[in-house]
Amino acid sequence: MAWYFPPEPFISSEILDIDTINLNLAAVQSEVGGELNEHNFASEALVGGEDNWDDGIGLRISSEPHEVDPLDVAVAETIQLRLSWVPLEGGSHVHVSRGGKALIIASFQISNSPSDLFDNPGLQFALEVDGSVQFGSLYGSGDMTNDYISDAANAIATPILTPGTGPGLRAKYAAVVLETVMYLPAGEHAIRVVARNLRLSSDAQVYQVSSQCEIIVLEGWA
Amino acid sequence: MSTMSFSFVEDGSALTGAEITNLLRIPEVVINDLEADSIRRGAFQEAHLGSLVRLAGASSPYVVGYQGSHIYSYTIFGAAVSYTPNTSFGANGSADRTTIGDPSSGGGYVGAGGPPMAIAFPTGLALGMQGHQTYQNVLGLLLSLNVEILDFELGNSDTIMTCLQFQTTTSPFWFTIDRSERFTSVKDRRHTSGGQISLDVPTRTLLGPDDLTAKGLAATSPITGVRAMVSIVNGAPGDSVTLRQCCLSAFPLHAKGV
Repeated sequence: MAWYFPPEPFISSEILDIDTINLNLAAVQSEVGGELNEHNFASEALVGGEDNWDDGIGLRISSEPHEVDPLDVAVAETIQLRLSWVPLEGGSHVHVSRGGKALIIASFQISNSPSDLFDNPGLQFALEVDGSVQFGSLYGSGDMTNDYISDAANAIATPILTPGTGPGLRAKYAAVVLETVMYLPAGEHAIRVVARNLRLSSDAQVYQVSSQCEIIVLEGWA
Repeated sequence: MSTMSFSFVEDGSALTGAEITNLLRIPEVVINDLEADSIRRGAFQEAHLGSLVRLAGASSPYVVGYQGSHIYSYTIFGAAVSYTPNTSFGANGSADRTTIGDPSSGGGYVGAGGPPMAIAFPTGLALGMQGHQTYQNVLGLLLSLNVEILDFELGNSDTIMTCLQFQTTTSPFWFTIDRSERFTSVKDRRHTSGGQISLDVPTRTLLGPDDLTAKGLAATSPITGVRAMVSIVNGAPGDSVTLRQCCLSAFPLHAKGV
């Protein structure tokens, strides 16, 4: 029970007044009838070991898995990179929120298209919620001095696996996880993984490939 | 939730013991039958997370396998444990992949091994919030895997594959979570000539009942374990990869799916 109960405690030898009794009990009524908050629950006693709670109390989850073999170019999903943000194929999800703070996770695979091995340093990825890029989830420097091109890769005698990599995102194959925590108002929310390439000299499309994208939303709504 | 029907004692009425008892019984009944709409939005925060993660491990509700100081050295002996592009995707068991840190599971190890990157749920953990049975009231397992690729000795191969697998009480086999397969290129990513690479490979996934049915299992099959696997794409005899700082976590979540 919250700390303000009873609002008007009786003292010894006080003559009981029915209005005060009603007031004190009305505080209980008000609290139980939809005003319970964090002061009413011990943090370790809410669910663990108890099975009487409704499934929706505390945590609501939605996710959208997307299974695509990253090594099968026939089913590859291209990222049509531009200077501005563009969504990844298979990287979208609609989450229905009841209002609360949410942890949003996107886990996926990227790779260079075999025909564009050396054209794609400078990649950045981020989560986008309702059209707004969440820069707290930004991944990738977009810095060509960091995502450098290694000419040594040209000498490797295995074309299908020639990486053409620098230490940045433009490796032939790389795994990426994006995460952010934000408050979601009640209602539907469109969540997408978006990418851009700051190194493009023009807005021409350059292709890379994404796959295996899974978006997970953990929302504490109560 | 029980309906709160609160009848005040009117001024001038007799305040008897029965009246007071009645006034107290009304909230007592309700508070013992709380439902979701009894709770103000925003009531719960991070301090309550411990209550929302079901106790499913031996010692902690956060079931974590952390192998920070071990170096896993893994050698491909031949094509039998080599990942083959376009045919190995989603393959189950350990024919073309091996458990990190477990010399008995495919492949072979050079140098130090370590505790297997596996988490067991000895009594089984049913997913999908299947009623309110103690220990099974879990929607899904949030799996988090980070693998650090430290070094490699590879011939023509360039790519390392990691993935997550699960096992149930209804089958002796380990099944791959297809979407957890991650590929990482390593060549030409050394920091200095002859140096190491220290690449982190992160993976997150939510294991749910649909993953069981996708493998031909009943959605109610209790999960008995999850583990992290590694392989070399187009590996050849003599190839090796050194891993370290691997971390596998499994969070059994009491929640509602929306």
